[in-house]
Amino acid sequence: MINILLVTHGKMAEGMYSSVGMLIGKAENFDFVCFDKDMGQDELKEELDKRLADVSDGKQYLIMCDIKGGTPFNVASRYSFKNDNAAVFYGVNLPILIEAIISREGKSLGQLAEYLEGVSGTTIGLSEI
Amino acid sequence: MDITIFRIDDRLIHGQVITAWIAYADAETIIVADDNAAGDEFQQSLLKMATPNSVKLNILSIQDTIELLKTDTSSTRALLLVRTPKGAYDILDAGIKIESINIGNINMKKNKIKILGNFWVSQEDIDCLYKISEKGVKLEVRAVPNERSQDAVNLLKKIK
Repeated sequence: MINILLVTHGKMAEGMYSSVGMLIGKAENFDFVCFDKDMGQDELKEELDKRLADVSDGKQYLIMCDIKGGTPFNVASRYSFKNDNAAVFYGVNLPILIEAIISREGKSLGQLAEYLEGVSGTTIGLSEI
Repeated sequence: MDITIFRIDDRLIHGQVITAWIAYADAETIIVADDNAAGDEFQQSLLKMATPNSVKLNILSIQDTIELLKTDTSSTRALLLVRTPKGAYDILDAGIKIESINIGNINMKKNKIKILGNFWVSQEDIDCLYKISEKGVKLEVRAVPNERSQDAVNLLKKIK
């Protein structure tokens, strides 16, 4: 099963992690890192190194970040650069995060990433009511 | 080239720059002046990806930045980013004129002294910041535009 690592500015990742638990219960192979206000880029990299030390063909990672070009995204991209066993998805929100968790079974990392990109547009919008 | 914001930020282009500073600087172009990024394929693709399509991006060595700023006579509004106080000093020392420099993030590293959460300095940083200040350039610490700005030299004096 593909591992999912959520990395965001501030406590958003921790909050989303808790919201996921509320909606679908405890998810396996799912972890988060918060990039806190006073943290440096190097400290964030250390945190990611700890969690991504074992990226391999048998252990693929989808790293979900908030803002494209933000520090969590920038640091995470180092792991997906020229490495097919890690992919970075940006613009994470709660529905797409849950979709990633529940739909990853039986998919390769490439398939999952492509699928999520395809459905992401349906996760935000204006209510018709 | 009209440098509307000159910023020292060891993260170069990241969330604060994308969401706030580009608009604040009313920037048409971003110049990343960094020897390391200018020679690193990964950093270049990352910086390109991070830059909104509405803004042009130039990734140059410090020396090439100086050449560009000396020869470009257009009124293009630019956001100039360097990673360290040394980089900023080298640009000023080559004769580039600027009134004020913004310090965004100079983060924790070994053997650095903490001034603020986002402002840690090595001895080299301190020396360069004083030399910049001696050129009559204002140094203000501010992560995002709507934050209160603090005078870097006043902050440095407190540690001496």
